[in-house]
Amino acid sequence: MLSQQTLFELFSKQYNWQDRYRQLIALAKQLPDFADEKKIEANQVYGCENRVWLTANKQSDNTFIFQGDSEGRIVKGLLTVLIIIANNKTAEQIKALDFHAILKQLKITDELSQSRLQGLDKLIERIKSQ
Amino acid sequence: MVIGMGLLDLNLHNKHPLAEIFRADFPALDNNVYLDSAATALKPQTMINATVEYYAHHTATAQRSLHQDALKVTAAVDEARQSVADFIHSQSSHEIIWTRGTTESINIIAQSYARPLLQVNDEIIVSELEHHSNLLPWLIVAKQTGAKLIKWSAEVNELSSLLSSKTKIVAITQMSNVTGFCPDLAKISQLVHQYNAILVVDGAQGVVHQPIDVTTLNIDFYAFSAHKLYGPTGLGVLYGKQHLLEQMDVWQGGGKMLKNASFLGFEVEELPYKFEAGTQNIAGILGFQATLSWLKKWDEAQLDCYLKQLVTYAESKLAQLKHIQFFQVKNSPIISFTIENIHHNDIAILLSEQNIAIRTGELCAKPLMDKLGCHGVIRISLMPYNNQQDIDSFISALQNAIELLT
Repeated sequence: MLSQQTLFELFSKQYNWQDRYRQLIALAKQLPDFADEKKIEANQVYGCENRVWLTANKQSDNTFIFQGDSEGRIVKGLLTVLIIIANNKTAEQIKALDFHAILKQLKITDELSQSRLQGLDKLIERIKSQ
Repeated sequence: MVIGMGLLDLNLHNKHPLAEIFRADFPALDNNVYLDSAATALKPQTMINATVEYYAHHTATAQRSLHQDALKVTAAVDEARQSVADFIHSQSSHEIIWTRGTTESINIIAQSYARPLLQVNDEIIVSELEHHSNLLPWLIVAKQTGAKLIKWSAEVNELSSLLSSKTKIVAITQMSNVTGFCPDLAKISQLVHQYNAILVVDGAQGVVHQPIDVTTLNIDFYAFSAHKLYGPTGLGVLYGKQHLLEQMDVWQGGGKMLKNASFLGFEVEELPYKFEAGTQNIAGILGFQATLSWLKKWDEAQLDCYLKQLVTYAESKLAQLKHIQFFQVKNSPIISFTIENIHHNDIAILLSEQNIAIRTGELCAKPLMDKLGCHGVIRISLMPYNNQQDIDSFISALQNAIELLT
């Protein structure tokens, strides 16, 4: 998995919209596809245009490692960004995260109309619900 | 029809000057590639003007107050009702009920006609092509009454084997919103009435592309929405044969659906008013009246011929894409497809980024998606206001999207 710093470096350069989507689509490959037995209702995040699944594993130091999958590659790319931001943090640290500010900093929110979709908030809500 | 390279050179505008004039009536097309007309059609300036005129200068309610604008509006609402009756060839304007849309119209049939009629184990035959708006009202009333829903492929041959003395209602679309398939309503109607069942037709898509004659086709109930036919949103029509509407209970209670009321009870108003409690969507009705008058001025055959050529052009361009699978019937202005290994939502996002309006997903027709074996499709839907440039912009945007995703 990419580090948060690498993620910032990747998105810090000026890109046109196609390049930003290319980045997201490439990022999606960082998340291994879920096996069918993990694509269960309990793991599904509702409210997105395509099906999205998310799992969270609490580690011994109380931080979380998230895994996710989605039918759509762009949504999966966005999910990857969110997971990179949230991984290795405690529930409290995750709750304190301002995802929208970070996405704005990465120039994802302003430039990609996908980020206006309601689904993004559902993903953030689910990550924060740990 | 020209094929191969010749088709790519086809200059449809020059061959169809009428289509260009038609297009000029739609202000929304100024900076927009709009290929989502099956979801809702764009509005001609005439319709917009009529709505604005009502709100700006002639606001008044219908069937109530007696001042000048109110009297004019009352007359205009009934004039519009007559226009709708003429448009679908019903025998009387009393058979035309204003509703919020196709969905409300079908729910009225299910709750006011079907619910008191249906007994346990009675059968409602519903085609599997249906939009949820012609499926859910039947599922609800089946649950309420103990009647059974019977799934039908929409093929005439299969219908004869499904019909029986238990069949009370057959519900079918005039045109599928996914495949564009138009069932043979004449034959279906004949069969349905041999079994003394009633025929409910969802005209939401069909009313736009096919002339409809509810009397000749012997349709018992017909529903459509104004907004898919270049008209305003929030307005629909329920047509019902007069004797059926007369025997039906009222749907909602409120102002102007009654002749007399006391704390002991009420006496309902005559048709069509008994189904129109409360203030109607007057601006919408006036806008729709303007739309119907405006529609009359166009040579339908010529626009239809143009649309067919545009459809052929779009299909031939799409067919050149790799890994494409089509789901629509030939020559349909509704074109649904998938591209192997690409999720429709990714295409939707990338086309939206390029200002191309299309529709993706299950299209409110989940049972049909299950039958087609897919989780969703990409749909473009064409109207005579579209042109070759729209198709070219769409194809180029789609190619960009596919390139990004592979």
